[in-house]
This record gives sequence, structure tokens and C-alpha cells, in this order.
Amino acid sequence: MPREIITLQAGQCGNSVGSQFWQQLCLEHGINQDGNLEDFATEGGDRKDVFFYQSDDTRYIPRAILLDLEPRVINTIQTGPYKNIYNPENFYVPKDGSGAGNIWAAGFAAGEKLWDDVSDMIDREADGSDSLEGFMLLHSIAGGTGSGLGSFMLERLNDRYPKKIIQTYSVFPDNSSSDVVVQPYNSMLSMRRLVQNADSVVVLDNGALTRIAADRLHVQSPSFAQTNQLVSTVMSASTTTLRYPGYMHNDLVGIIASLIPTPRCHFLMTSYTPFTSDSVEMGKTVRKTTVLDVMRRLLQPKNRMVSTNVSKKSCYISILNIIQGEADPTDVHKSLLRIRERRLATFIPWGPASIQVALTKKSPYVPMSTRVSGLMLSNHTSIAQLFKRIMTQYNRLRQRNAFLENYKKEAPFADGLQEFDEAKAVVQDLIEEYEAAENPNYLQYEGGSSGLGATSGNDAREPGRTRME
Amino acid sequence: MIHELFLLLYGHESPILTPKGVPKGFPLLSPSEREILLDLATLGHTHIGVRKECAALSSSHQSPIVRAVASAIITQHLADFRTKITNVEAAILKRDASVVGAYDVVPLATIVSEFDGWDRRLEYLHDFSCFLSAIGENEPVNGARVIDRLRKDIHTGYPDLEDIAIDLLKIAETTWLRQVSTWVLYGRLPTFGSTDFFIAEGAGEEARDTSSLIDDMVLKSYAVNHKLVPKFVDYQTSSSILFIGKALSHIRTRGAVSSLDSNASGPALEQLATHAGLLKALTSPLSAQRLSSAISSIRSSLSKNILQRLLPTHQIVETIEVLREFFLLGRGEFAVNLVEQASIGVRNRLRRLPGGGNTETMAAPQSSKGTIVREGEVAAILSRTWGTLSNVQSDNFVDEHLELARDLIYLTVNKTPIGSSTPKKPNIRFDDLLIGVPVSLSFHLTWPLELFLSQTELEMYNYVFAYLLAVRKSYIAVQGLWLGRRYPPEAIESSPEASRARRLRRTGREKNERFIWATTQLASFFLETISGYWQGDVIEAAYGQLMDLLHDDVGEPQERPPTSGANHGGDGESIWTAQYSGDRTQHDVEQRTRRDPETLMKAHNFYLASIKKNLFITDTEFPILMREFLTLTTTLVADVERLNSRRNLQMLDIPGVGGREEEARDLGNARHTCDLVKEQISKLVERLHYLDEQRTGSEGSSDGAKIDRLLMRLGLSNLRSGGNNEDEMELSDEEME
Repeated sequence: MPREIITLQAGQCGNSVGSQFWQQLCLEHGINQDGNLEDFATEGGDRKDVFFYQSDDTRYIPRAILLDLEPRVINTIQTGPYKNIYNPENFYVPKDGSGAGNIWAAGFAAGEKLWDDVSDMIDREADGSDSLEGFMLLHSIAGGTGSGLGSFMLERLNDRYPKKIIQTYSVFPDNSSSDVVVQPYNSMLSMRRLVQNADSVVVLDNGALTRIAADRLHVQSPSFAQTNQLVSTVMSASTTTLRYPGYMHNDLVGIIASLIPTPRCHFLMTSYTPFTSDSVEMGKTVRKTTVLDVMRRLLQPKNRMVSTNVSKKSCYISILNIIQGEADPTDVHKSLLRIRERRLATFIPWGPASIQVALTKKSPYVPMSTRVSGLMLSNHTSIAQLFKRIMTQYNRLRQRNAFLENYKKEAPFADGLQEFDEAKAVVQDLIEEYEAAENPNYLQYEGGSSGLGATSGNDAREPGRTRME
Repeated sequence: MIHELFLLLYGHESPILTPKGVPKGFPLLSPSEREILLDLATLGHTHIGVRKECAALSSSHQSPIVRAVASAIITQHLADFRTKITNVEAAILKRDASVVGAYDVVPLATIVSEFDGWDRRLEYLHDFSCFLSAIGENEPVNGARVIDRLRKDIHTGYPDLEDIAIDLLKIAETTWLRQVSTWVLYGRLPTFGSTDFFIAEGAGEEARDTSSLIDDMVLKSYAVNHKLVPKFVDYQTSSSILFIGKALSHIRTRGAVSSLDSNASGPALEQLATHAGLLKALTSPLSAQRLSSAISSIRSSLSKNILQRLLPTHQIVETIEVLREFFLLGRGEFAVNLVEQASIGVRNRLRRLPGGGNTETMAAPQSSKGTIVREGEVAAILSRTWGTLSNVQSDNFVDEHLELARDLIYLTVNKTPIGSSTPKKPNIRFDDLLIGVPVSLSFHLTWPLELFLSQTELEMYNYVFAYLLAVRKSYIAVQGLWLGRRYPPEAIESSPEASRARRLRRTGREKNERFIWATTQLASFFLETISGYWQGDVIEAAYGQLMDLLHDDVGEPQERPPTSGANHGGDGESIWTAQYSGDRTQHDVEQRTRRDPETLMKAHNFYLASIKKNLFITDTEFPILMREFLTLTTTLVADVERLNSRRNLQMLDIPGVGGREEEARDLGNARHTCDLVKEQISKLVERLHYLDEQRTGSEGSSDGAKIDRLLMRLGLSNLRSGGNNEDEMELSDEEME
């Protein structure tokens, strides 16, 4: 039974990344631009059904729902080379199509209006799958649609499908070069939903993406297409174990369970290597790709798609390396040994200190110049710094009560701005949770019956929690 | 008097010459004469004794070898003795000067000297016939022991005894060879004296269920009874003999029904003359070397001419692959779907039970007690699994292995109670963990695969399957907890206080559950790592090596692409070269013929044994610990689910629902289970450390030594010593850029 995954793409960023992702999947599975199998695609052994279903005329159709509040990107997709693979019923752009104007509140409020139509689409897709495993939301948290509408969808999905996995690929804004002034607001409000309504969030830091693209591709300011290619490479690599089943990690829940011990710390970082011209246009060639090289490079902070400074205390909660290509278990073992000997990875003091490795097949239809390539999914406590950055920016903006008019207009803020305070508190809790996870006594039981009405008790504890800085 | 003496010697009892010599009161005898007469009387009585024993043996002993030897003693050696007597008597009657002195006096001393040496021979024969008729170890002596003894007796040092022994050995070995040849040439057990033959029908026959007994085409299983193998036949040869006969017998049985009729039994006869010639060329005393070379040439001729045609190597390879994908869970999808379908089956059954509304309990073994599982339900589980598996196949791609598995593999309720089967079987069972009653996955063994696989191996496969699947099932169950960890969405609260209170409650609860989730993840991690190790480092590596060996032999590269990801050597020296290097040098010339099913069978057996060992099934402690651990994880899963559902109730904010005390109790229970789980994991890890030390210690760097990989990957050292990686952190900072 395939563990189907329905992909929801919201907003400009989500749809651009998504269309890149589907192109990549089509190439890897030998599906042509009309959704038919290429003549050479006779190998079998892959599981297209996780992400595609077959229409009556046996064409492969992505299990994707494309949402936006303004038509530009969706139009590009509908006129692009892969326009025919999508189910035309799964596009949703409201008739007025004026967009959310980079206001989270507008996107969130729009969700309320279009939910009836969109939920029909989601239910139809869910009914069309035998054993739905969950949802993947692609969006950015900086703008209005991906963040606001995305947040709304997360809440509704969580409510409607409590036993399905919700994973997001969330593009975080680049704090240095931003054209949206209110993005700290949008990020903060989205973060609350990502904390509370998702099982796993793959964090893609636009700053890091630009840096990696510039570094890898030797260009000053990489185009969106190029950074999107980085993202789609990561996405396709992180789903290879689902699409090319082996003996382990055949489902999303397995990946999530091995990466995310405690529910709140579910923000994952990624690294990928090597980026060659196979995956990204103009990528440079790489000299050595032994398993050890790949695994060592994955651990280098400069390859992480989240820019954080590693502090003395920060450490990995978990690591899953997905190695594609000709990897010999013996080489993997030796690499793990080397990494351990040289102490290239520090782990939390309260859990297994181990890099988990999944070996998977590569697509036989996409030629690769390197022997092995690797993706690292990791849960690292230093990600809290990213949230702190957002917090600082938010505080700066909020102190001045700047640009709040557009938010006050919409429903969630009609009664006041406590939604902001709530979101901030949730993110603050998250930061503290990650910091606590660096401590050996993280698991220590503090007694009490989980604060049932014991507000005072919790308050008393809170200041006592030391900040690790 | 002399006449009386001769009569006695000839074999007739005498009233005068008793075994104790001449009676005391007998007149006219000097003491020295008495002594001489005593010697002769003893000789005569020994003769009588031997004759009696042998006569009895030759007509009634169950071993044809004993019979033949006994009658040879009578007809040859005792006859020789009688001839000697007649000659001496004739000499006396002819008054031959060498015997009869002056005045027709026959000196007793001369008679005695005439029979010089015979006392030793008869003594030996007497001793030997006593050996033949002796009943040792509750059963009469068997042919193999007779041969062994005679081979030893050749070396007594007396030339005359050596002659006798060689002579008798020849008889014994010829008889033995005759038995062997009916088996090796026709695949039939000797009709007479089959109990004495070292190959016998297996005892497993009765265990088969009645349906197959009706079918008289059922293949008999044969086994070597090592007690009945003469010592000069080495293990290799005896198993080759077993294999040849078994193959022939199977061909004979199947030949009648199979469509291969004409070319199956035909060639067997074609080769008959050649094979018989090979056996005929053997001379007594048999040399182990020549026997084994004759047997191996028959074996290879059989393989080349018949078996290869019946059972081509690619078919064997295909079977091994199917067994690996399904019995050894090489196909992860199969395991996942089977577990899922089984849980659907269990749920449905519980639903039908009166008051069986509570279907959430994962503890299948308890919950299904008292319910009767029908064969149909069990079979349906598998057929639903096949259905879902073939659903995911593309239309234009035929998965041959899946189709084959669909035809050949079936799931049944295992009726044999614990311990009633063979004592060799490990006594910890895992087959009841799938649906609560023991089930077994079986492989429909068809002709001609029977030449390659036996029921015993399939039982072993089934055990490994149950073991792996039980681990996999727990793993899936634990992972299932990650579905539904989210709190239900919160409406935007009107009052800041209310939302703040709720948030604090939530963080407080999460804090209390940290330990539980960390332990749950630890359990999941342990199960995942060990399953990954088993699949990747044990099964896949062993499989790669087996395939390398097969492809060495086959030399037909077009059959299949090289096994991807298989472990081709590296640091671990090949278990196959270790096993077969001796073989190789010895049979270098026979390299071409090594693809015979028997060699493959042996390689496959070795593969299976190595897998079993490295899955730690053969260890005495590990499976017990594992079983306990699996039970604990079931409890853990139930505990955490209870906590989750209580949490969801409480989040509804209905007053009076989900009291604090119950929650505290649930939490306490879960924490207690977590402690046990952690403890059990450390026990398992400790056992692994022990096994690692033991195996590396005793076997050098053999195939068992890779446990260190598993241990390294588990990386639980910081858990055991409580965060000893402080120094690790400082160092690692230097490494970081």
C-alpha cells in the first residue's frame, strides 16, 4: 500500500518551489511533460503512487493542490512546460485575485472564505488515496499568502486530519535583504502555527540558500530559480526513501520518528552535497565523492541550509543521512567511525549519539556525474538562534507598533492584538525548549500533574529556567 | 580316544572331553597328557561355540553384513579348520610317519603341533562372533561397527589373523557396497536390512498433515544416521551419498507424475552403467579416498546430466531471492503491509466479539485469548497484503518475484504446540506476535525445488521470518505514536489570561512528557537500528556473498545485474572463502561441475546458518531479552496512547472530564514502563557487548565480528554513563568551522 502524500502549495514561493519539485520528480520517475511514462522508463521498482495517481487514461497526475491569492505564479505554471501534468481542478486562485499584500492577516482571513472550496479539493484527494500518510505544505513564512493562508490551512488540516502527518517545507526570510517590512510579523504569526499544527518543519533559510547558491554556483546574486532548485533537490532527496523503497524508512512517519523525539522540537535543518550541474544549473563539478567526503561535508555548518552560529552548548538532537548512489555499507561504517573519532558531531546528552544512515537508490533516468550524493536531515538546537533573530526583529517592529493597521482590519485581530502576544509567547517557549534540550537534565521530571490549572506553579518555574547564553 | 578327540574337534560334543578337560576319574592318563587333552578340548569347544554362534547369526541377524560375515566364517574359516582335521585324521589312518610313530603310537604332542596356530585363529573367531552377537547399547551390533572392527583387526600383527580379517572385511564391504549401490544407482533403500543402512526415511513424515498423506506422491525425507556410517566414510561422502539417492528417489517419485517424465527418469537409466562401473571398480579394503572420489564423480555426473536440466541455477537464485524478499523481509513494504493487514484482521475480530468495543488495545496476545482464529482469516490477511503490494506496481512492469511469491507463499495457523516439535528448535517463539496466535509463513515446495530446499530449511526460514516480523511490528507500532502527537488546534482566545493559562498548561504537560517521548524514541531508535543492521549488514552482506559464489559458478552474467549495494568484501573476510578454500584447492579440476545443486544447497545452508547466528537467534539469552523487550514496547505504546487520548479529552476543556489524579496515574504508569524499557534496552546492549567480545575472541575476524558496527551505531554510551560527552563537546568545537 503506498503511503500517499498530498502536497499543498501556497503562495508565490510555495508554488515556484512546488513546480520545480514536480519537474524533478517527473524526471526521476521517467514521466514526460504530459504525464505519460517515457518509453525508456521500464525499470520498475519505484513507487510513483506516493506522489502521483493515475488518471483514467493512465497519465500520472501529481497529488498536488496549488493555491494562491494572486494569479501570476500559477499562470506561469499553467502555461509552462509541465502544465499538462496537473489536475486542472486542483488550481485555486480567487476570482478577484488581488493577493494578500504581504499581510499575514489578509492571507489568514482569505483562508476562511475559500476554505469550502479548498477543503473539497483536499477531501477529494484524500479520498482518492488508499492509505494517506499525510500532507506536505510548501510555503514561505515571510509574505502574506504562504504565511497567512498557509497558517490557516495548517490549523484546519490539524483539526480535520488529526492522525495524519503534517510536514512543511517552510522558507524563512533572509533577514539581511528583505523587501517586506512586515515580515517579522508574518514570520512570528506563522511560527505559532508551525509549532502547534505541524509534526515536522523543514526549515529553509533564504539567507543560507542564497549563500550556498552563490558559493556553489559562483554567482553574485543567484536567481530565485536557482535557489528554488536547491530546495527542490532537497525535497526530492528527502523523499527518496519513500519513492524507492528498500527495507527501512519506507514512510514519512519513520523519518519523523527517528528525527524528532520530543514533539515541540520539530524544526529540521538540511544539508545537501554535492550540488553539481546535475541538480542545479551551472553547478560546479566536485572532485571527490566518497561516502566519507559526503558525510563529512554534510556536517559542515556552511552546507546547512539554515544560517546559525554554533554556540558552545548547541548540539544535534538527531541526524538522518540519506545517501544516494553506490554506497557500500562498509564505507558507511568507516565514515561513521571517522566522524565519531574526530568528534565532528556533538549530540544531546540525553539521547542516543548516533548518525542514522539510510541508503537509497538513485533514479535510473537522471544521469549523475557523482558516485554518491547525500542529504542530511538534522535536528539541531542551534536553530533556536534563527527564531531568536525573528524575535528580535519582531520586538523592534512591535515596540514601535509599526504597520499594524493592515492587520487590525482582518478578523483575527478584530478584538485586539493578543494574537501577536500569544504567537510571541509560543515562539519564546520554543526557543527555551531548544535551549533546555542542550542540558543533561532535560528529561528530569518536574512533578505536578502537567500544570492542570496550576498557573502559579508554572509561573514560578518559568523565571527559574536559566538562559544558556 | 583319538577318534573321540577328532569328533570333538570336528564339532561334536563329547562326554569324555568336556570343556574342563578329561574327567578326574578317567584312568590311564598322565598329568601332562591331561594338560594336552585340555588344550585340545578347549580348541574343540571353541570351534563348537563359534559354529553355533555363526549359524544363529547367519540366519537371524537383522544386519545383512553380519549375516554375510557370519556365514563366511562358517563356510570358509571353519571349513578350513575341518579340512585340517580331516587331513590330520587321514594322515593318522594312513599311518603317515610324520604323525604316527612306532607301534602305531600317535603322540598327542604331534596332534597338538598339527593344530598349532588354530587356537589363536579360533580364539579370534570366537571373540569376533561374540562381538557379532553381542547386544550393546540396547541394540544389536550393526554393519558399520563390524566393518570398523575388522578394519582395526587387520592390524593385530599376526599374519594369519590379518588374512582372516581382510577376508571377512572383503565380505562385509561387498555387502555394504551392495546396499550403497541400490541407493546410489536407483535411489532405493535396500529391501532387506534397511534398518542397518545408514540412510533412513526421516522421522518428520508423521508430522505432515493428513491431506498430504492421501497424496501418495509425497516425497519422503531421508536422513543420515551417523551411528550407522562406517568410520572410513567421511561426512562429505556420506552426505553426498544421501544427496544422490535422495535426488534419484525424488526423480523416481516425481518422474511418474511430472511432465518431465521422458527426460527425467530416462537419463537416470542412461547413466546407470557408468555409475555402476564406478562402484564396481572399488576394491576391498575400500579406501576412503577412492570411495569419495567415486561418489563425487557420480554426484557430478548426476548433477550435470539430470539435475542441471531439472533445476537450472537461475531458478535456484530466483528462489533464494524470493525467500529473502519475503521471509527475510528484504522487501520492507511486505512487512509493513502484512502488519497493517494483520492489525485490521485483529480489529475486525475484536469488533465481532461481544463487548469487544475497545479495539484500541495493541496488546494482541492478551486480547485475542479465547478467540478462535480461522484459517480463512489468516489466509485473507496475506491475500490482502498481496493485493496491496501488486496495486503499487506500474502497469507496464511485471514484478516476477511478487507473482512467484503470490503463488508459492501462504500463511497458516500454526497448530503445533510449544515444545512438541523437534527439540533443536529455539524455545522462544515469536510467531504469535503478529496476530496473537502462532502463525507460520510457508513456502509451497514444489518439484524440482525439493532437490534444493528441504522442509527443515523452510522451518528455519519461518522462524527467522517470525522473529524479524515481530521486531518490525513493534517498530511500526512505536512509530505509530508519532501520528497524532499534535494538540488539536486552538481557537483564538478572547481573553489573554485564558490563552496564557492554556499555553502554560500545554508547556507544563510537554515538560512532564519529555522523558516518555525520549524513551519512546529511544525504543524506536533501537528497533530501527537493529533492524537496519540485520537487513543491511547481516542479510544483505550474506546474500551478496552467496550470490558471488553462485555467480562464480554460473558464469552467466546475462542472468542478472550485479547485486547492488551488496557487501563485496572490504574489511570482513569472506565467510565463503573460509568455508570453501579447502574445497577449492582440492577440487580445482572440478571447478566446472561445482554448480551442482548440492553445492548450492550447502552454500545456502551456510548462508542461512550465518544469518541465524548474526540475527542472534542462536544465542541463548538474546531472543529471550528481545521478546521481553517487544512485550514492554507494546505496554509502552498502550500507555502513551492512553495519555494522548486523555490529553485530547482535557483539551476540550469540559469540566469534570479527565481528572488530575487519573492523569497523574497514567503518567506514573507510563514513566514506570519507560524505566523498564530503558533497562531492557541496556540489558540487550549489554548482551550485544558480551556477544561481540565472545565472537571476536573465539573466531578472530570471522563473520560474527561485525557486532561492533551495530554497537557503534547504537551509540548509547552516553546514556549508560550519564552524559560523558562533555569533553567531546569541547573538542568538537575546535573541529567546527
